[in-house]
Amino acid sequence: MIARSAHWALSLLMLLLLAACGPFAGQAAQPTTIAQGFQAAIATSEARNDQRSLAIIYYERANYAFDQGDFVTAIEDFQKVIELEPSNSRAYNNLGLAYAALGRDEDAINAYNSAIEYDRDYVRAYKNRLVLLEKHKRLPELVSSYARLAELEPLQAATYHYLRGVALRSLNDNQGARQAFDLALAADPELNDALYERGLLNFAEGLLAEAIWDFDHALALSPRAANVYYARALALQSLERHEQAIEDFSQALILQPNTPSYLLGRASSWLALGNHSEASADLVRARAGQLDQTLQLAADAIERALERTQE
Amino acid sequence: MKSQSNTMRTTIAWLAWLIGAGLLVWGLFLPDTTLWRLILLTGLFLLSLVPRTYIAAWPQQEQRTLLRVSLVMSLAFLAVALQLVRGQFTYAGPIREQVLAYIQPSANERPDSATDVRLADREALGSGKVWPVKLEQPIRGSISDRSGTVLATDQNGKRLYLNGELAHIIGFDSRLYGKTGIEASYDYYLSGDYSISPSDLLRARLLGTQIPAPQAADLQLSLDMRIQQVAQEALGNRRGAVVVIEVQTGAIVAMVSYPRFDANQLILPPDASQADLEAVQAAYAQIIGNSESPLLNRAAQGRYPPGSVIKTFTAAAALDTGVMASPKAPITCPNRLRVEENTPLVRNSVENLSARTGNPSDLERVFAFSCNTAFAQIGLSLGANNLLEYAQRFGLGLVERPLEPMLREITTEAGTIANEASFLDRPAALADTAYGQGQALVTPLDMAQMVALIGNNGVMMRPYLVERVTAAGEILYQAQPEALRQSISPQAAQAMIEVLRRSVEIGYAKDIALPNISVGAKTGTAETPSGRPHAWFVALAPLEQPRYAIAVIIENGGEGSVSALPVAKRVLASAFGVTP
Amino acid sequence: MQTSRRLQWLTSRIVELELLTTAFLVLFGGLAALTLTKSVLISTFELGMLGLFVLIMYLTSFAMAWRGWGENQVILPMAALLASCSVIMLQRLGPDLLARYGEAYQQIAFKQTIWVLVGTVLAALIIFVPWRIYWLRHYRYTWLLLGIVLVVVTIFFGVERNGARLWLNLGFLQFQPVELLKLLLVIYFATYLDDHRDLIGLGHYRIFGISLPPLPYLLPLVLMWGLTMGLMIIQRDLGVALLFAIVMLTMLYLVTAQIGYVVTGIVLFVLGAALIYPYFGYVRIRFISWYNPWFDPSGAGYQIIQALYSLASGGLFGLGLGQGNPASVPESHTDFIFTSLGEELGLLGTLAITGCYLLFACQGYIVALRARDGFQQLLAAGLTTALVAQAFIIMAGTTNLIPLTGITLPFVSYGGSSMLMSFVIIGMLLRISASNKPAYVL
Repeated sequence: MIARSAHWALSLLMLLLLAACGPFAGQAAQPTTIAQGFQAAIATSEARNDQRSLAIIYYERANYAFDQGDFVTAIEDFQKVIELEPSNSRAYNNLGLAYAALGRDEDAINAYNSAIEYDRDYVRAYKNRLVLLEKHKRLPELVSSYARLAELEPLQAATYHYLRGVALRSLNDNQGARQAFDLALAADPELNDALYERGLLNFAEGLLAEAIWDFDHALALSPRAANVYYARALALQSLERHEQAIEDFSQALILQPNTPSYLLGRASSWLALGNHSEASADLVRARAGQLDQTLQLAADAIERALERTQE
Repeated sequence: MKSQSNTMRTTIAWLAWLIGAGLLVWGLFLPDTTLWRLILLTGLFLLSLVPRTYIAAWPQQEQRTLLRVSLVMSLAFLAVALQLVRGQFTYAGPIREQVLAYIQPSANERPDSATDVRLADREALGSGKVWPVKLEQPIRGSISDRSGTVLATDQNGKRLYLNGELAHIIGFDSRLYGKTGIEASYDYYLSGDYSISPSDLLRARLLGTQIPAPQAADLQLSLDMRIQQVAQEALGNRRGAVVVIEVQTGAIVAMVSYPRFDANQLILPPDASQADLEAVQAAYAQIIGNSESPLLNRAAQGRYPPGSVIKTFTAAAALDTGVMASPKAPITCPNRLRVEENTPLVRNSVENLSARTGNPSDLERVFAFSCNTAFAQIGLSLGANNLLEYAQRFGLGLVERPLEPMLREITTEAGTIANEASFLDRPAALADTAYGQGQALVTPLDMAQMVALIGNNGVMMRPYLVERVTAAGEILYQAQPEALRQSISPQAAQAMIEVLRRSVEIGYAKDIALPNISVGAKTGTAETPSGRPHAWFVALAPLEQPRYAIAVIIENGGEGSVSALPVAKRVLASAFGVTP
Repeated sequence: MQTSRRLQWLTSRIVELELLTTAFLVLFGGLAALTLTKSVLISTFELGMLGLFVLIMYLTSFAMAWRGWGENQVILPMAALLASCSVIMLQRLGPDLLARYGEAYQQIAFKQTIWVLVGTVLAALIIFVPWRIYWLRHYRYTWLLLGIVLVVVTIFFGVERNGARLWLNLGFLQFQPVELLKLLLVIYFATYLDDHRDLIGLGHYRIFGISLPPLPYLLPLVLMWGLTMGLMIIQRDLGVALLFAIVMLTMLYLVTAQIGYVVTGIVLFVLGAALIYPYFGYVRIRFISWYNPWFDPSGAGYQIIQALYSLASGGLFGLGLGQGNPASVPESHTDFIFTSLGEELGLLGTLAITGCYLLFACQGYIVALRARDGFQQLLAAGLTTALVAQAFIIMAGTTNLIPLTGITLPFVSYGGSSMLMSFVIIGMLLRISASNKPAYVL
């Protein structure tokens, strides 16, 4: 029994040895570099006039060049693939990646567009294009990309609807944004970002009770989100509920101390309540931080109001 | 029989083995992975039938379990081997192509959104977008006088002062030299800043909502341009100042100072050329360089020795404290008075004044004829403490301890009765101060206020220039007359009115008399270190129900009754619409 | 007569010598191929280490021949061959991993060589130190206690890696306690089952109309279920849970010869997995990416797709050592070393390795068949099953035959704990297989 098994083993081991050393045995004749390997494969495919395998080899070589950081070669090879197979959406996508790696964003976007044109469901291409569209803030295209991705990736739909809503908000299409946020929240009722953004939208449209409802729920999910406290505080301020607003401003400041906008918000509520010492203390703290132009205006307004009342 | 069934079973097992092997070979070339898995399972089961028949026939029963375990393990590895054959050989091409088509080189993939962070730990939600707010600069508000005559306005983006004479009050809004006067103190309204709400700004920054454009407000001054104009003309080109105050409210009706400057000279047009710039700079240099200080608003900032007009203050204090019981209270008016050893004697400005006042005289008469020796005695009777106390009640402080100017809207100096309190400890200094010499320095506004409070039952009102602020028909600010203090009792004030009346009826101020209007007044002539004395004149009218108080000073104008009185007379006559 | 005796012991293990020599040919042939094609520089120190490894292997073989206890001749060369494959592959992967992931992968080939060497010494010690197999039975509760302590310590002080809490940080090395636990479990289970063999064989009793086996019989099943569930829930280690289940069920079956209890065990395991399925995302992800890797090709399915591509690229004969890109598969040096081998050695190589394990399984069960008593039989079968089932789980997992679960490929994957335990297992198997060992080691 043992002897028989041993012979079995022996033969198997020999097989393994052969396999391991096979390429090594023909060392001298075989290509040594990967590039030469591709070249040889291209030559055989051309000799056989096999378009399909030629395209595959170019594609592989392009990917290889890309991984080596040689984007120029990668672009050339991807373009050869596209010449051979004009509707090869994968090649377009990877071409786009190579352009993007070289910083040629416009070419990259066009390549991704072609990839999407030939494959309407090409999630990768959409996502790659998204990177550039987000970078260049091309909002109308972003909106349609998010919409399509929400269809293509139902599991991520909530997030995409939310992002679409944000983009629409930037385009000042509040109605569209509201629909997008509602869709996002229908897909995922716990999407706290969408709750917050819808709250802002409600707030902007003067629906203060609805806005506060949204903020309350966002805070129930994310009790450490300082900017939601801030937003709710501003909403309460609009309702002249200054004491509550101050509580929320203070909570936001506990979470993110010395944030100028929170301090200025609280200062304006103190001002409305006539507590000038607290207001000016907050103003001084806010001034110590980085103020953007709008905050600068607000700080000036508070300061002037304080000056007037001191007279 | 048994062996026959065994043979049957073996045959069937081998048949199954063949079918299984065939199935597996076929499956190796199938593209459908799920189907391949099913075939693999079935095939292996069929293959196992043959060894199982042998194991079942194994002689040592206790070893069968081990053999079965070996069989299962072998089949498992056979499955791996078959899977490898499919993955590496028979179906390798399609797998490769499928993956290749998908692979994209080095993933610089879009990272999934931040929602991966645990909900409860999030420190900020949303896109974090903020909307910068741009505020439009509104057209600066206009300034007009009490009857609505526009004094300052914006024209084509350039500030235009329709009455250049008012630069001391209105000031200017210059891009080069900043803002002064009312333009500075009411910039909050004029620029529209008052309409900017910080919470509106914060909300707009967060939400991207529009905020209402800032709205500039218009000012209406308490000045009455009609009277102001007359006062300016009356003063003419003499260095000096005129102040007219509405007695009941403290509203400043006219405030004139000379020399002055035209604020329009300092205003650059919106698209200023180099020539414009140079012109403005030259004008400013000229104003600054002028030795007569045209920038100085003498009416509110000019501090002059008061001369005899301060006797009004001394008399009021004496009446209020009871040092002088009434206007008829007796007092002597000697030609000379020795107050203290080794100091100059107190003299009257005119020799043998007692001839006019009578001897013994009374308060009315010594006031009407401005008797220094009488007021030196009154001052001594009052004492330093009383004098200081009443000075403060009249808004006059000490240089070492200055009071806050009563007028807040433009740059104003507060008058002082002495440099330091200890100065008045010397009887000679006290006596001097009481009749109008010593260290006292007062502004024309102070003197107008002094007279005004007498006309207002002894109540000092805060003087003001801005009557109201309006924007789009809405009144944002309305001046409320503000009583500062009861400086003297109403009885003392009433007595003082009698004193002032008599000063006009019998005294030096008699030339101020106007038809149908009873006027009370006091002249003053303040000695200066060099040159002619400053001419002072204060007046109150009508005495039955005082309406206006006026103070006039003419630098180096000589006798108050000669140069200052006519100015006041012209102003009052025009104010009351009478011809002198 | 003297000469013939000497000759006789020299030739008594000629098969083992032959096989060892072949294995070392593979080792040095592979290293030579690597040096030539990939210009990997193998340090003299490393070569010395490998020489020492070869020397100890030969010495062990000769010593066994001289002692003449008649151990199995295939098991040792099998280990040598697989360990050689491991050393070759890590020499090949080392530079790629270093370039791709950086510092953490410094000198993994060298470390692996050390582990192989230590493992060999450990196996030799087990073979030659005269310990008694009886001790394994005698100190059963010590083993049980040690196992429980290990589990508890790992739960509380374990280091988390890739979402599974499997590691103990001993300072100088990261130790994987489940490897030792595996050994202890087999020993304890063999003891327990052998003790209760008779009792377990007896009749059933009924409760509420349900036919139940006697309590001592239920206990191992419950123990198995509890242990595997614990591993799945607390340690999130699906692979080891599956391995333990297979080992225990196999041993149970060997004692009872009743397939019903195996089925019950499988049902219990599946039930457990199904129970935690909705609550533990990792189980779901494993299942989905097995059933259809293309469901989420850039996320959950990424690893398996890369592995399939790697294998498919290898083809029949492989790309040749150093010619492929196996490091593109995550964990290419541990869990996925089999696909790395497949890419460069091709179908021939993978079949040979599969064959090795199959052969090992057969040899292990033969050792069990010939064991002196029931306990040793159970022990040999258990140890063999533990080793080859582990190999099967990871090989089948990486080829997408069954859902992928992270576990090492014995003797081949990078890692000290696994390597040492594998050598301990073959040491024990060799000891059990000694057909004419003297009584003082029984």
